[in-house]
Amino acid sequence: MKRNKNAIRAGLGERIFDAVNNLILLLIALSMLYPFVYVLAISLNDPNDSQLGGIWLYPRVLSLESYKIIFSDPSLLQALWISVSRTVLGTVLTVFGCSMFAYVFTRNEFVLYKPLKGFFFFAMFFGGGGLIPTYLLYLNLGLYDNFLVYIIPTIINLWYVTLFRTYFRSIPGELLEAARIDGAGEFAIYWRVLLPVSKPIIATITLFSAVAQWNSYRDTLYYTVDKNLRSLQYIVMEIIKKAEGSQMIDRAEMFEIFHGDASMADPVSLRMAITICTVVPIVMVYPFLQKHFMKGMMIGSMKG
Amino acid sequence: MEHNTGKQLKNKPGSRLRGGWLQTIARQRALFLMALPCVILVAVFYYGPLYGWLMAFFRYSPSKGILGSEFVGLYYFKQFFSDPDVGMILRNTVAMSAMNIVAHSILPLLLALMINEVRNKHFKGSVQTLTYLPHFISFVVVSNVFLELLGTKGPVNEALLSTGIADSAIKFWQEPSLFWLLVTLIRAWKEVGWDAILYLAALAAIDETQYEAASLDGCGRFRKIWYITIPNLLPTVVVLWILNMSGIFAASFDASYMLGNSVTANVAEVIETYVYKMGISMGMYSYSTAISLLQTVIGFILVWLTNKLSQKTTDYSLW
Repeated sequence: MKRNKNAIRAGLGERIFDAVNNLILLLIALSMLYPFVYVLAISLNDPNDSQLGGIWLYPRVLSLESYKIIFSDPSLLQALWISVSRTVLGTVLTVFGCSMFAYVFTRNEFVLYKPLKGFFFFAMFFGGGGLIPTYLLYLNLGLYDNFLVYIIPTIINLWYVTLFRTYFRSIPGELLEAARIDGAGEFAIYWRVLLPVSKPIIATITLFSAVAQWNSYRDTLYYTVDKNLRSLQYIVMEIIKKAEGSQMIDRAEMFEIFHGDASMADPVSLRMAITICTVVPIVMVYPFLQKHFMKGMMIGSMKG
Repeated sequence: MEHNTGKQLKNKPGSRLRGGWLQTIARQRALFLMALPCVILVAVFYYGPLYGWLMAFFRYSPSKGILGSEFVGLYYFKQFFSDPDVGMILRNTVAMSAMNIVAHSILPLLLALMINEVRNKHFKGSVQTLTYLPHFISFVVVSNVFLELLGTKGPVNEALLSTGIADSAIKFWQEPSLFWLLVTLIRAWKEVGWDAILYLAALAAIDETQYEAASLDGCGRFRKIWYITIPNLLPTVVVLWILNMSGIFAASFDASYMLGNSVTANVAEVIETYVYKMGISMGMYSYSTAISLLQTVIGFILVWLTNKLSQKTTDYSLW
């Protein structure tokens, strides 16, 4: 940029700058897209043919075989069920819990306002613990190896509460006062007045929470052993680790050992088809929520 | 937001004095009920694990409880520092997080500056949408994709072979000397767009009249970038860089756990993976907790120090 400073007046320099800038950005954007195109191409290719390599943009032998294998595998269907249910249940409870807590924090006249604030900020800075203290806590609470370990500990997220609170404070007080004068109770004000005017922040937290739930695999790794509690992400992780453990990360080597046997060989197409299944839901909800989260993020980041 | 008007209408001046605190509680019982479940959850899941930190100082045995176990003081901390692997683990942790911090400080800033110069709104929007996307994709999926892309039969190797740049396929994931760089690049790829949001927000906040004045004075694009955009962005940049610094003692469990393998174990092992291995796989609860505690305390000290530094050099601070 500094080097080009003298070329300004020419106008040509600016046009070259624009062209180069746009070109680089285009390449960056394509680099964000390409890995997913590649995964899609492999997943739609015939599983046995994929192992020969050489596919980089589109399927060579179009086949839905990999998806058929996945969707007829009971353990994968169970994992899909776990992923969907933890995402839906966890997100609903998180949005509800965090927004309700945040509402309490907008009521300055609440007698416990100050102690609660201290309680909140101490938890924010020092709360939570190392892996093992948390692990033993869950063990003692009976959450270990229990589906609820995905749900209950995530209901209150202090960062989400802060984002909700910041947003609630930006809403004109008159709206809530009118309801209060009409004799509405606290919960009714929160539920029927505040939440309906807070759609951007609800969308933001819904997106964050749903993505976090859907993408999580570490809680499965740390706090469960039951195979029925595995999520889709965990299965993908397991496949990666298995391929590494047996030093078979290379398709060529895998092909030699498990020639032709799709169900045993961890063929790359199957892996990529599972990957597509874990990515598609996010790609689908993302555009709808994106316009909201930008707004929600800005408000949160400016005050936070 | 002010609730004062409503407060006066509802509480009538002096009602607190007349009614006493019992009546206040009765009047605010709805708020108590709303706060109660949240407070319980915070108490259990944020305060609950704090007690467990004590384990680091006891030879913890599940049957005796923490305080019933034998007190051993700093035994487990000494054990960690006499572990032959400690140097390797700390080196990997600091090296990877330092590389990550450098990448995360520079690349998002460049991307934000470039996006800011785009004139076509649709193109700008598309670039932003695409660059945020990887942030929402799990590291599991990202690892899976890049293990494949950079595999011996992946498209990268095929391109290298067909263009004659490489004679034989490069085993990227079996190469310890490449591991840190690959992890850094993949993490940067995943987060660069998302991290650019903060810079873009700062860029959007720059007063347009500054640019108009500059245009009247005959300034071109590059002078505007150099004399207006960058100076305006500087406070944000400095604060974010300094805040990033506090993360130097924390690495990514995901990257090391999933991208590392037996060949690269020596460069992939970080505190996070070691704590997991010792604690959950081997059941050494006290030892693992001691290492976590050490990491957490150093993390706090770093946050505190960088915050002090931030206060001194700029006027910004976290608290």
